[in-house]
Amino acid sequence: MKKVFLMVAAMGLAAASFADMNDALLSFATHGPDKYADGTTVIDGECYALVWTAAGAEFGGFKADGTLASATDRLVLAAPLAKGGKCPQTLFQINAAVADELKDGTYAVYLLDTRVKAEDGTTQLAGFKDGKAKVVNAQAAVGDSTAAAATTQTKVALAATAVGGAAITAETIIDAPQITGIKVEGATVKVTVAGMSPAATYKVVTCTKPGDVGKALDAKAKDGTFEFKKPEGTFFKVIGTRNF
Amino acid sequence: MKIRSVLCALAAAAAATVFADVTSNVCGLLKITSDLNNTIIGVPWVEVGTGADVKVAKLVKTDNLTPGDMLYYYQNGTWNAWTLGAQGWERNTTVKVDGITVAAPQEAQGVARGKALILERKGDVTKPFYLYGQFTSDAAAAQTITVGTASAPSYTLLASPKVEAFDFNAEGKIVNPGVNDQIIIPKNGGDNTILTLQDGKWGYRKATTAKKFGKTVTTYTWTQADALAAGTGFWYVSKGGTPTFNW
Repeated sequence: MKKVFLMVAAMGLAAASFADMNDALLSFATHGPDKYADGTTVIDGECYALVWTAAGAEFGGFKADGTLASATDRLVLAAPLAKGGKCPQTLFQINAAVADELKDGTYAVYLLDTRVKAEDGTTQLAGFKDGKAKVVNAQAAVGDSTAAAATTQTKVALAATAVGGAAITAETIIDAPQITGIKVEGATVKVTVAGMSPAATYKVVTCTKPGDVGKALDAKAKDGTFEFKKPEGTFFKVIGTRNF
Repeated sequence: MKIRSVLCALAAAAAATVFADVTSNVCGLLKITSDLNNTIIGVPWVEVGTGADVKVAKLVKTDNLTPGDMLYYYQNGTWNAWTLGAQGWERNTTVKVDGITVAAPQEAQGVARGKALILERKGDVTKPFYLYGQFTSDAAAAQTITVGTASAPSYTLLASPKVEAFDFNAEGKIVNPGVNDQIIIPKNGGDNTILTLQDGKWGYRKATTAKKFGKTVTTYTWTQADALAAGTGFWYVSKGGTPTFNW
């Protein structure tokens, strides 16, 4: 995972200002109270994972070592986020190249069960290292990785619980496009536009008042130029909608 | 990408703004329909992309115009002119207006919003032409009306900086005009529409001719002025007035 870092949502605006153009900002949260498969409310500091699954594939689950079992899944972010029985609003950014790789697929939030039994018999969290949980769903003594693996094989299906109702947003910061030139050739108008991002889809809309959003014109961009028939409305502009 | 769950805005309203769709500068093509050989056109736009005063050559599209058509710009007693040539609008330094040779317009001369130009057409005037540029909601620079007198009236070429029709009689639009001031709107054949003030309203005398008892009788009725079409202008003739236009 390249250039992924975690920021608390309270600094959402700061994160946005640090992101480069065409980078993607992802945020997710759960409503809570979230529970493990055994009905226990999630412990503070437990791991949540945001996983991307390729289009058409099913989530394949986590292995005991915190890695994903299926090649069609990708761990976008896993972190010890749980607090107050839920995952608080979390915001982070991924660079444009990674965002482009992840454009076709689905995202879901999973609650990881990393509880282990300590030597004194109490339940603790296994901990988090190198971007993933040390152990997923093992009721085993800390450090007893063999025992943890054996436990996991019978419970791998419950190792990660998709959190229903998790709110996930993904946005890309892109620059506003700029119309730089207009040519009228007979009944055809050619508009040159600068600053269009590969992470967005653009359309030309015409309207009778500057603030309106009228209907989209039948125009596609080619080499930064839209060509369309002279519109009825006096005003027109280019609108970019993020692909994700 | 499919998002499984409901989209959720961030807590900070300002951060939520970052995630809206992006919109470019608003541009426009204003269609002017005029059957006049000499049309006063207004400047309602700024330059596309830069927001600077729009260049004459970029403001007036040459579509439906004829080579040899002329553009005139009048300011403070000085005329500038452009001729439509094979390469578009070209600066003209030889034509005369009122017997006076025009001054050479600057290469990069821009015309501010609210200024006006005169388009002289030599070809088919039934076809519309277009003014294009970038829209701005910024206030336009205040226009200065040269004060004249009854014996020596002054003429100022004016137009609305907005892309909408202008109602001379809307409340507060023209403040402090002189009682004898006039507004001249060109018409074909030299028979211009001349607006004067009557009871605080701008209008014109409309002549109606009829036969009565074997004689031709002309009666005049005063009619309030129609709104001026967007993108067109007029002459303001000051005979003592120092009006302010609140477009």
